Amino acid sequence: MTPVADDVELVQAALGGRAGARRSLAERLLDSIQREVAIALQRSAIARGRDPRQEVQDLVQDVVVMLFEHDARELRRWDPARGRSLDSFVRLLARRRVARVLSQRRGNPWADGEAEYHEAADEAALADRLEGRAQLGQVLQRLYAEMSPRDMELFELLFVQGLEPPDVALALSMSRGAVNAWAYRTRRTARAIAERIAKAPSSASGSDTTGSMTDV
Amino acid sequence: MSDELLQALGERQRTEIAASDRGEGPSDLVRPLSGTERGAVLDAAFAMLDEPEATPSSPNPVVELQTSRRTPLLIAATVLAVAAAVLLWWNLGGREPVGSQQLAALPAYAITRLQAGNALDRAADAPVPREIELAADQRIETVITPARPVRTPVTLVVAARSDAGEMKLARPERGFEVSSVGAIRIDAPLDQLLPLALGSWSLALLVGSPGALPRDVEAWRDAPDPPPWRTVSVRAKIVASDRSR
Repeated sequence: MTPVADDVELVQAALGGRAGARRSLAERLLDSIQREVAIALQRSAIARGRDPRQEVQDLVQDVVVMLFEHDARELRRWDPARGRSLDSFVRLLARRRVARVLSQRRGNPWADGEAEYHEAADEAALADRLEGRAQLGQVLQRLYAEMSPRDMELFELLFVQGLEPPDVALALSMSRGAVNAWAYRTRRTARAIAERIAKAPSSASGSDTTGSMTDV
Repeated sequence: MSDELLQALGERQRTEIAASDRGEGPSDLVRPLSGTERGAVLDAAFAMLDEPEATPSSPNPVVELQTSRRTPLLIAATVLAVAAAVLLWWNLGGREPVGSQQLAALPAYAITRLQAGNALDRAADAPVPREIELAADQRIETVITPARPVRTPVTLVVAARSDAGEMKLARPERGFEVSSVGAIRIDAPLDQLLPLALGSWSLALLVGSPGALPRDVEAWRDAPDPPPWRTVSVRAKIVASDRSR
């Protein structure tokens, strides 16, 4: 069997309740999940002052729970026919989940009203400034925390994999106009987040592990 | 409006994925989980997933009653009786105690990992022992996990009752940590958590919001039923330390 066929069989067994299959599937996905957790923790330097190893385990555990809770609602969304491997799909879910958990742990600075938005400022200059201050990762983390699963998929295809909008529209059964509209909205959101982070004192935009933890 | 910012973010993500796939990054974060760590993560995750959610008990079967001319009267009388009973209960102070409300907000906890004293070398995936044997200066390592993620602040109180009836309680300030989902990992010598004399004890780990947990033995002993915290217990036999033998 191909690796994809193996994964399909394992997922079906886990969803079908075959003894041990759920744990085998989780075990199979741990490394992929850990990679996303490690990226997110490096980005946010959230492990400072805590045991980083324990932090990794806690977040990996949180993602595993998310995959299987509510009758494995999230996992059931995996459709190999759409061309995404199981690992890639789970990494996308993990990316969003971890961003949300870390964002909520710090408190959400974006919740206190609409962010200021300066249409005239130069996009490239802002990106350069953030990159120079090592804040681009923080913008990414905040953006993921705001995204829906569909947003994640669109962002991944358009800007991480760099596919052309018509190809993305075809892959996700969307109109080209809908893809453009999504890109416009996301750009505004990213822009608002970026400006907030660029304006914040560097200490405030770093790690803060003392914020309240609310439910996701 | 151009896409430079989103392009830069996408590029950043690509770079991070590539570095992660090459295993680059701080060792503590990128080093693959060990067998023990994998076992602990999966045990804790599936303990949370498999704990039954607290659901209302199933309603009694409904029996269709034949309607009669007396039915409306009976319904009215029943409604009045229920209303009177509710008022009486309310005035007599039968309102639900605060403790049970706080308890309802906290899921049940279970020990998902326990290694202590004579059981320190057990395999990570071995069943959780019901009883441990250790010297007071020996290390206890345990993970207690909530049935579902807990995002409100919780902390730990360690209490114990000897078979002879002696009670002890401590609020440790170190030797444990609380995870982002409310799981608690304890890793400390027992006497750092709660010094106990030789003999058999029932060791109780109390988890709750910091303000709800008992401050002393009296508060533990006189707690309402149910108490406003969760308790997981294990039997502990305290034996003489090698150093004192």
